[in-house]
Amino acid sequence: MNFESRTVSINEIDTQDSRYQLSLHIDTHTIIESIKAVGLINPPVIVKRDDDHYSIVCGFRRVMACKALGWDEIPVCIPPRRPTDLDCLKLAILDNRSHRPLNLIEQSRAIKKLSPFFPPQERFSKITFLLGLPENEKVFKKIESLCQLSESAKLGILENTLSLEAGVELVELEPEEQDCFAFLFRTLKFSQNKQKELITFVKEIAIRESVGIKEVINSEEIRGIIDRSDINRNQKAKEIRAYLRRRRFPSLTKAEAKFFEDLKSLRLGPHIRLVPPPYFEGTTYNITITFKDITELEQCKSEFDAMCQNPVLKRILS
Amino acid sequence: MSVHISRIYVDQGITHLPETRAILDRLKHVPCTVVFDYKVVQDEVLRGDDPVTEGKRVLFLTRNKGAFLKDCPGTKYYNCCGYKILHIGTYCYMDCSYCILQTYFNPPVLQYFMNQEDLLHDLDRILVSKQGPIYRIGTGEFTDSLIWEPWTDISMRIVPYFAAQERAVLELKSKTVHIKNLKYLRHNSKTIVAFSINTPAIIKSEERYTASLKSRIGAAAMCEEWGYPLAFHFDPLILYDGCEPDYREVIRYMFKRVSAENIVWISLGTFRFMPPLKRIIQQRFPGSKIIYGEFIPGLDNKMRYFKPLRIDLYKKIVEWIREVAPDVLLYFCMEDDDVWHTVMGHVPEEKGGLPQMLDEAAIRHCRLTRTVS
Repeated sequence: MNFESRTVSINEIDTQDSRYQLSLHIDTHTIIESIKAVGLINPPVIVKRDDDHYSIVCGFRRVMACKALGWDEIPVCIPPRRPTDLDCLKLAILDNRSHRPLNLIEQSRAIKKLSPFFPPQERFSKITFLLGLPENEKVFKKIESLCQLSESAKLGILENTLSLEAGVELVELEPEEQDCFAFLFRTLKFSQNKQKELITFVKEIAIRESVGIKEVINSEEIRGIIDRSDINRNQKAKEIRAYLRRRRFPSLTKAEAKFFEDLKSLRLGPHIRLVPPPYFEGTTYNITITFKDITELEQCKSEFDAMCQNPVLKRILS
Repeated sequence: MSVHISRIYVDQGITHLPETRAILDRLKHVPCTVVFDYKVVQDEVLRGDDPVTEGKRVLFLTRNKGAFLKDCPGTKYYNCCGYKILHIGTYCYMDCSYCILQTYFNPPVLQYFMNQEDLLHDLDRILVSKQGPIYRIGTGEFTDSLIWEPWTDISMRIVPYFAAQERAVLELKSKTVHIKNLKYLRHNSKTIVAFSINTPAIIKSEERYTASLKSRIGAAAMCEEWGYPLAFHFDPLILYDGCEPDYREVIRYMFKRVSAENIVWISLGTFRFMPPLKRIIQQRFPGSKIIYGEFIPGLDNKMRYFKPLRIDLYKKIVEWIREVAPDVLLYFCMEDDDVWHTVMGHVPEEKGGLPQMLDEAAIRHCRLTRTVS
């Protein structure tokens, strides 16, 4: 496509028109410095609308930066014939992809914007090709759903404090509920699996107790843990997880606590480990004895004998 | 109870059977297609957004190419009742949130097997001799036993069949009240009519299109009048706020309507499910809370209530039943010795094992003859 290069008044460009915009936020800080230093190397692509104003196809940051620098006019590229919306979107995607991979939110926005242009049976293959996505329909659907996230949850995805999998779990929630999780995950770093686990705990507690999700996350206990100054971020994350697990599984966690309390009373040394059946469902306990030599083994034997005589063991096994 | 069969598919190999014609006559308002391949039915069911629901609306009349008698799929660790499944069909038009059949078949399709000569032949093979072990045989594992009654003659074929022998009982287990056909059948006490029982709250929220508790108990009372031995299955017992007084009231009401002496057995089983069922319940029953109990992975990989919670509920239910029916055989469906011992005070092994306990009850109530093979 041969573009016409010309200069237009910057006021004729509608910077609010985001129909071809893929990025969530336009950060002009770095580009302003670049334009100040070497000028506008690559003019943005714009198209004329029926109302004689221009929509930006490629170069939102460049236009915004020039505007911020107080330019009245800006050099631009204009396609010779007015392209279709689909062509403009393709152009915007290819332009972005030519200098960096699209982030998850941009991919999601692109899927949403492109979808109306393709029949359902072609949508997946055409769009994955355009976006350079792997041909995995499950992943495609997950990325697509991110569009429904609140602004702060989207930001969490961009900042990598909210994982794709966790983001997908949040999609069905109200925006304010998503914000609560986004805040929690931004404040305390959780691994991808822990994020999913926490979301599940909170959702299920809310259903079990017929309370709101916000109410669970903003509970005094969680706020208290976040506000503590005597523990670090990882410890806080661990405490919150433990608190939610206790609330989700009150009987199980109580039984676990009781077991560990009893275990302490057995006063086992570091070489003997008593492991209860998983979730106390079976009836088989495991004992692991580790030793280096005969002396250590004999020491373990005395400890083991003492444990067998201890009435606490009977209580544990009853 | 409403039944919405939207289409019938008939396997071309069974179109000539008079039974097929009879079913089609009873469902003549439903469009019917003859198919050469089950795949046509599968594709039709899988085409929609919700194959689990779609499978309830599509009736496939076909031939069972496999065995009609199967062993109940028990697991090693938990005590299994050891009964045999008589495979008359699959799936169900009722819609219980917790139903395992939603994940058991892929896709689940309402299938009814027309080659009943083969079914009777399979029964003959184990029952023709007067000598041999006792069998407890049920049709309510892969489907509800009585949903087929309005359209088929199944009970008219199998109830008299069982009446004519003395080594096996047939258990028809249902959440419907389709008992009309049973009234005049010669059953010779060899057919146990069983009902799955739950609280009105659970029936209302989790058992769509099933009969009410009162109707089920009423149907049981009617069957008792017709001389049938009865059984009840408190399965799945579900923990919820206020479940205890509700279950107590169910027990009270049940024994007000039926006599303990005519109950062959009562089974108890708390809600358990394979993990994939959770997502299905979330999608298909968004208002259901039953999956949010304190579930832990069991030794059979099913999710089960944390054991002390199960024991606690079992103890109460056993106590309430014992108060009014001390001699009725109570048993747990898939529980371990630990639960048995804690709740019942004995483990099945002490009484010869669960299958034997059930056999004895069947011998007593259904006048079976124990023979040595």
